Amino acid sequence: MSYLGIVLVSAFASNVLLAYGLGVCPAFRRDRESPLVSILALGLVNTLAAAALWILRVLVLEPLRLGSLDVLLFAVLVAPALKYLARAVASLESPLLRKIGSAADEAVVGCLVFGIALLSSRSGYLLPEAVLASASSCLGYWAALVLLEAVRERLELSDLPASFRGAPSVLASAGLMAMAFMGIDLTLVKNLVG
Amino acid sequence: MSMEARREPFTPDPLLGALIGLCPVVAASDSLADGVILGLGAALSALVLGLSLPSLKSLMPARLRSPMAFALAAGLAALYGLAAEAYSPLLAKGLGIYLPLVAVNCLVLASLRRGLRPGEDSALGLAATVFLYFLVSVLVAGLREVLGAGRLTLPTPGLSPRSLLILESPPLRLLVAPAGGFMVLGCLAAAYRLVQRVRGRRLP
Repeated sequence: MSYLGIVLVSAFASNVLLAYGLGVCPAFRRDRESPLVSILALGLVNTLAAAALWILRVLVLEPLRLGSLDVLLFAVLVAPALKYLARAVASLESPLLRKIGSAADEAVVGCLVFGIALLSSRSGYLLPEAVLASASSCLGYWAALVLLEAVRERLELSDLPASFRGAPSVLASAGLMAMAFMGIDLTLVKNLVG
Repeated sequence: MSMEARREPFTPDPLLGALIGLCPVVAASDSLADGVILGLGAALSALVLGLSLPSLKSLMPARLRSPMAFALAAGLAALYGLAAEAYSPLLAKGLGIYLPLVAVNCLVLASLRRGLRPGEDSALGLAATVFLYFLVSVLVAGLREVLGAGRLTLPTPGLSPRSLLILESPPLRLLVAPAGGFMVLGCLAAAYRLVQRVRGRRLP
């Protein structure tokens, strides 16, 4: 698949939030960092995690037929290294870098980062493709979050039954958004951009 | 530790009330068998961690408690993945990335955090919470499969799981897709809130 195809598939056709349900718990809470900090932190952590897990899985575990132990290696090697790096960034002087570092520190152990790293390393991509796919997945997640936030704002002004107010209506709206994203499917992207 | 696990208290109604541990239920649990396997994995891991960490944490150096506890969660997920593969290779293959993701399920992370905190709720409360999580994940998966595919796939061991035909023509085929998972969960969460409101308890 072409690089543009990988970007489109990872961001839309296989959107991590709406097609895989990854990072869905934090998506339904309002206490998030600012969008710029979140996207930069997620991008940093996701790309590094995907690259590290790809290297471990493809170069170490698969030749030894131990692919199912990737979760253990992620927990023992990748997550602590990323946490250490995120804390190092958080201790820098720049306020933006400090915020990014602490947001990245929080994000390391979560289904979004590990899920994207697993998807990228198990998709049969080469290393640059896996890194691009993880960065695009992160962009797709952010796009879906922004759309959901806009929907949530409209829903708060709507006259909904009391039990549907808040998370239930946002969940149902996410379902409708997921239906819309199903329209951009893998075959369509392959036919359009190769 | 993830943000959501850090901020959320360990609630008695994790799935429909606090919306914790949604990812396998929304996307992967499109059949009863998948719901049972994923729900059981998350519930067992949360239970084992919640019960064992209070005793194990005194053996762990304070600075390494979180990474060691996470490594324990990952070890449990890897073991559970291998057991699921041995029990039903087809079902385990179909679940793909969701079996290893049990390690970072928000319920498991919340249980892990609970286990590392001093003076937490009783083991009975923890068992009731994870049992409720398991029941709701099985309910969502069963509902989606019956209405979306018209059958119920039983988590039987061996190469091909058994299916029971329930409806000749399923009314809502969309429900087996992730979009349907969001919708079913949204409707069940609304029903749960309605019940809680009738009982005089309000959820955020």
